[in-house]
Amino acid sequence: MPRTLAPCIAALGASLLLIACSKSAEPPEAKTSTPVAETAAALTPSKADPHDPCRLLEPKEVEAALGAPLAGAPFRAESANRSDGGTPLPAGDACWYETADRHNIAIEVTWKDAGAVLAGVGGYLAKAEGATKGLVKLQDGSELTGEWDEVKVLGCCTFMALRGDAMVEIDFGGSRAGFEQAGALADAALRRLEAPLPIDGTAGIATAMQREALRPKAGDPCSLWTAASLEASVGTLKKLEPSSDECTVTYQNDRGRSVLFVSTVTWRNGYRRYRESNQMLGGMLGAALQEIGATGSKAGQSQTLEGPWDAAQQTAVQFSSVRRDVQIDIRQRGMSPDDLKALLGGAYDQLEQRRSPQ
Amino acid sequence: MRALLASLLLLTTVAQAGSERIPLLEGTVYTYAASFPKGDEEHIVVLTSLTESEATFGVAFQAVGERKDHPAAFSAIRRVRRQDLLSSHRINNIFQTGDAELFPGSTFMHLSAASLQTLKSGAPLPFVLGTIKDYQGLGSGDSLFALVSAGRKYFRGEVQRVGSATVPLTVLVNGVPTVLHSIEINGRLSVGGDSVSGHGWWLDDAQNALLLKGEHSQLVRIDFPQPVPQQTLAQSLSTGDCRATLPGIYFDTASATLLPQSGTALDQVARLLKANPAWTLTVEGHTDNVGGAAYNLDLSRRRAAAVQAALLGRDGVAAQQISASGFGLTRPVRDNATLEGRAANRRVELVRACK
Repeated sequence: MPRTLAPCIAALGASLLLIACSKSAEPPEAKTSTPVAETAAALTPSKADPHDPCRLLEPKEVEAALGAPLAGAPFRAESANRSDGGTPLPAGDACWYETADRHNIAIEVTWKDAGAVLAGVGGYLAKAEGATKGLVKLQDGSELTGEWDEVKVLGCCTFMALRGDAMVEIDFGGSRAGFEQAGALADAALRRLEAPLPIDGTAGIATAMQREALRPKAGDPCSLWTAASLEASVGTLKKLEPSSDECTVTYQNDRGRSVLFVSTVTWRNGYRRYRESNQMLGGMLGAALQEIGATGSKAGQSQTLEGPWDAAQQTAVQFSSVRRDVQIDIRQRGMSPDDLKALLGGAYDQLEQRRSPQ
Repeated sequence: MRALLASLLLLTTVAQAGSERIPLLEGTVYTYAASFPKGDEEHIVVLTSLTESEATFGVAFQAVGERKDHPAAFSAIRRVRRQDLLSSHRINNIFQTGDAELFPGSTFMHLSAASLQTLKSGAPLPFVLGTIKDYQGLGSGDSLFALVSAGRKYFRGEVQRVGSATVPLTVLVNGVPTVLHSIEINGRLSVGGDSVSGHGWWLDDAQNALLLKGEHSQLVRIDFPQPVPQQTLAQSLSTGDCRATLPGIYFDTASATLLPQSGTALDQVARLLKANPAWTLTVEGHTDNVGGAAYNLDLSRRRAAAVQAALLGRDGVAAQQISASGFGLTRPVRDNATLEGRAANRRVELVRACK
């Protein structure tokens, strides 16, 4: 259950058919006859955690959505809703699927009473729902359909699908997948609610921890820049002010004016943050331009750029880039693409060097 | 004695009524009533628009609160796609704050034409019902927090037709008791370890397979956009005891607040008074018997006064043409023991001084 949304829940309902009921039940035990991928450990029914979200998807299904093989078995992890999402955790709410370059997809499951959660999300999304009219449509305009009774999309990249009393959330923000792939995963997961796979989500934790150790540790964001590299790109340094994840540098440009260079580093879940923030910025700019009647103006469009990163975009607000799940944003007007490439190439190389040897 | 009289009246009116089709028509108002210990809760559903692709319904719930004079109101819009009216096997009849207007793949007060066909063939129908369990215990406004934690669930299973004959049900159609033919269906639907009944009676009409009756709720009134032909109303007020029941008048539950859906009927009466400036009419308020005599007498007087005030606010109606009085529960026309009886007794009548 997305903890951050729980307070939003407020429901008022009425029924035309009146009904009777009995007690609810836990998810059923796994069927051992279902095949599992080599990377996931099989369980006997007695060992299976009925609330293990890893039991609803075959690793190969997620590999298809990610477009690359997994770096290891899926593993239980902190929720994608958290800043430390993806941190291996034996009783974690999420099941994490990660490639070698750290692109990832996560699944979470609300096993019962999920309707109340979705009602809360509905309240949270009331305006957006008005825009989407309750339908999830693909780029070609066709309707996305699946095994669900209801579906909602939260933010850029959380696909929430309810069937019966249970809900699966596919968080695909850390991948290049779209609604179609996320919908296919939700569909597959919902079909397994009553017959989960014999997969143990704790089995992949040990190797996930090894990969975790190779991540660059969060640290001083200003340490990514050397004085020489900054001066070569932006001018004469005057002041440098690091904070927890932001580095603000004041420098003097060619015309003698003091200007700011601000860089922000997202040390983990950079892919997800990159996707979310670019969608949000795009949405805000689009709305602002629409208000002034400038729909379609190039000023509101981001530009995708090639460089020493996995993905990067230049918007009117900032230059945003991501590589190996670390996102670096730079807010500085007037830097040339070559300067950006040089500066960020150096920063990303530094991050590579900081990774511990395997 | 009064109950017997009401029953006799009921027999007379139903015997006079015919059976007819209910077209899916823009502007139609459907009133469902559900029985609660504190009184009858009314759900007013207006088919606000009908296009080639969608039907849009405005739904106003009038929940009965702890005290009858403190109802909780809730309104929502629900859009249903034509394709789902044709082929969906899923019904979602729950409204929660924040809901989307459209639930693709679901209807909310109709069986699809395909579902009706399957059931009429005698075959079991795979069926999904999105609802809240134990709704009857949660229905009052003061149970809001219970509803918050409840949430919508989709129950699955099979339903099947009960018997092979249609079941006649009487509904007030434009104020006239009308026999509608329904098919009864039943089945057990479940999710996890919860289960609900799928018992209900649905209009036997593939073009408009409306829910007519659940286990504790029922469609009690259907008012088409032109509630009563002008001539019919004028004729009723000119002959016999010069009395006519005025359909198309809607109040908040247990309140004298007129709902906007009453506008068409009020306009019609105003036009009649304007065309007949010599007429004087008394607006009579009548109620069911829930809540006691004193309470209902006061409510009926306030409702009659509200209609009088609304008419006086319309062009061409003179103050001396219209008066109001309330009779509470003293003049039932139907049996107060049933939902449809109480719905018929909650009414506004017009009486012309013609003697």
